[in-house]
Amino acid sequence: MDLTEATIMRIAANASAVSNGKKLSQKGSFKNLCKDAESTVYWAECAGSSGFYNTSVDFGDGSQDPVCRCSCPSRQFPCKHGIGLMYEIISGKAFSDSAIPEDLAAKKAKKEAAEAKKEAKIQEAIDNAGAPKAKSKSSAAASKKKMAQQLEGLDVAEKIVDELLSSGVATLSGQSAKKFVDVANDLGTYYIPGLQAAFMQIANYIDRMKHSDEETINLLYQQTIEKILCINTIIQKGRDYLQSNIEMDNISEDNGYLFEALGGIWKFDSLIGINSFEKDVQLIQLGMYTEWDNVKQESRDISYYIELKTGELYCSVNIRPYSSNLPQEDSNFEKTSASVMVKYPGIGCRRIRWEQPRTSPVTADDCARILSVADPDIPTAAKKVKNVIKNTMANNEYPVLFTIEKVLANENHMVIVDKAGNNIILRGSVYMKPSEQIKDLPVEIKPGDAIFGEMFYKDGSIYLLPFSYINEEKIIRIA
Amino acid sequence: MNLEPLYNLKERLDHIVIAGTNLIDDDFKLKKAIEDMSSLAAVNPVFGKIQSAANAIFTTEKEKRNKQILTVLGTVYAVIKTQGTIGTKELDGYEEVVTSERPHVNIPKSILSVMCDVTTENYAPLRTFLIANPMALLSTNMFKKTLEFYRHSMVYHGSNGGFLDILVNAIQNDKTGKYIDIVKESTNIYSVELLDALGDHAGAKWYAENITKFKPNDATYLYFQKKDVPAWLYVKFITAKKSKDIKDNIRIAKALISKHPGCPEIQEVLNFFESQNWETDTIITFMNSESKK
Repeated sequence: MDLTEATIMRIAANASAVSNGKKLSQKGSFKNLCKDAESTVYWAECAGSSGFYNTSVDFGDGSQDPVCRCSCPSRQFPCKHGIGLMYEIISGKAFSDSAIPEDLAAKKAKKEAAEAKKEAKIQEAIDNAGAPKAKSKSSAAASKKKMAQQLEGLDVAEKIVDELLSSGVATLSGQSAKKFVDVANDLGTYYIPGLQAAFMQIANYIDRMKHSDEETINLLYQQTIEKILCINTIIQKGRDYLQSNIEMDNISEDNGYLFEALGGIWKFDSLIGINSFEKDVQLIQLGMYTEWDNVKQESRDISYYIELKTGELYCSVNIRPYSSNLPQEDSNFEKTSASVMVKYPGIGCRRIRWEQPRTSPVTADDCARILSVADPDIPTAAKKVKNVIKNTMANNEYPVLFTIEKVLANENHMVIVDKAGNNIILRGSVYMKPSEQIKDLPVEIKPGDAIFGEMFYKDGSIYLLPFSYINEEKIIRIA
Repeated sequence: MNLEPLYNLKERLDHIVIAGTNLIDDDFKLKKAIEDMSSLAAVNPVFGKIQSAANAIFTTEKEKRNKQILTVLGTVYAVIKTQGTIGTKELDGYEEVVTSERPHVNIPKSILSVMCDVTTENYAPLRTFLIANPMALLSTNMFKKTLEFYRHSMVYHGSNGGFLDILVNAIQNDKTGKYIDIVKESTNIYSVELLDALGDHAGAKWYAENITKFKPNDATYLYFQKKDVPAWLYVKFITAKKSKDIKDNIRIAKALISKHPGCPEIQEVLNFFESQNWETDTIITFMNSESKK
């Protein structure tokens, strides 16, 4: 692997770690710089608060991110010493060839064995994909019992919706709101956490109305109604799904989204098991943002990717509970290749995960590929969006990539125009003012270039929130 | 196509969900909205189906009525979204945006967001989120990060970025008492408003008792002067400094009082201390007796 500063910044936990690591390198904190003959493992001693730490960077076969190991007490991974050592490498310092220390070699071997085991498990899942594993009698019985309880839960959920509609959402306050929350909490005992979270979201909307102005209250009512519609759809479709599964126990990719909507959590090899995967993919990130879910008490880093072979748009979701110290996902400006990528069943932009990633720089050929798979005009892109957002279980936005002709602006709005003369208004969020970003684009806007963004529905119209601008040489990230 | 009848129907159905479906039989506006769908139904059978389904709300058994309402509303929402207009018909007055090639590098979010927030006071996203989700502040990590931004904005912009309002609002509306605990764990109590939000004199009392943790600023003195904080509490505040020697603290207090003379009631007390030559025993006796009242 060609180690670059971009890679270091990507794998570091945060900007402070990068800064601290760089400082260690710059002030000469490292001594006894060594590497193996193949230049796959580097190690050194680094001055620390209580003596010297043994730090190493292992590039393995160069196909994945390097592994840093250090004897310091930091729980951050990689620690600043590991980052500092990587800066020693890229700054061209001289490392002596030496035999890998025994303890380091042992750790390396253990890791390689664990990876081989993981790879074998994934390969086994791929070999058996589509052929459901026969469950033991007790496991099948437990599964059916759980589904029966879920069905009961759906009946309870339907009753909650019924009572809510009869009395009216506006009556939810004080004691009735508390009772609503208690009843919603009880849904957890029926193994339907997805629906439980949906009801708690309604409670959250109602609670927020207490501190909101009229415009926000109207928006919150709107969101509440859409959430109720979503819950109703999950109940109706979930009932059919569970009833058929109780007999057949056959989750397929077609209905697998209900598994997650009810609160199930997909495992990597389970997704391979239902044939929901691709092999040998190449992904380029085109945009990202973070959202906060106060009900589930978690943050989610959402990144949009294009898969170069198929031209499909996907998203990855990095979930970080508020109570955890999990690092926020950072921008990725490189191309990611993975031997296996799983796709979560779903309506809308499919979520993906992958294992064993390798990174390489984005090339002009990659940009040209992106331009070639972009939708040719706005109506083509919009049709895909409308097909998704009409579903009560889908969000109101969907990612699009389409070719542009030019950009126009007046003092109030900015529009993107396609070759056929169709246009779409750019609209930002509290996070972005796209007009300002586009006006400052550091490349010439040319016909045939492409825009990637989210088309979203609001107040009777469909707008575009742009995330990146792609020309034949590069991808300019706006968000 | 003028979709106003469909939007009206949506509005009436939304209203029924908000107000309660028990009242639907008397909802003449809803019935009118359904009737008005006839003009759209004549143009497209989809709208005819919506109209039929909406009419069926009133003929369906009461136990199944809510389900029928949701079915109709779901369909209405789906059609409205697919009919969303795209773009503008009028491009007169629009000018082409011309940009040009110049040096550029994509900066990762981890660096960019911190840079932007500190140098541009662009706290709007965090601020907006916190206003909408005050519960997030209950996570100590989030609160600490909020205070970091607050500190940064104070240093670079001399303003509080609006976070003070968020904290005050959160404390005043908090029924769990958890916000108050988190505020008390913090060492960044700068403001009158925060102390005020802690409740009648509770903020002042707590501040006076914990004074050694803080570096009071003008805002805090202002609190003690502008609010009707009892004189003994003010005296306790200005004398409870880091030094264990009350005489040292009184010396500091006298210097401060010249800058922050206090309200007339407090001034009267300080004049009394002056007449007693700021005797330590006098001060302590005063505070003890006054605080018991």
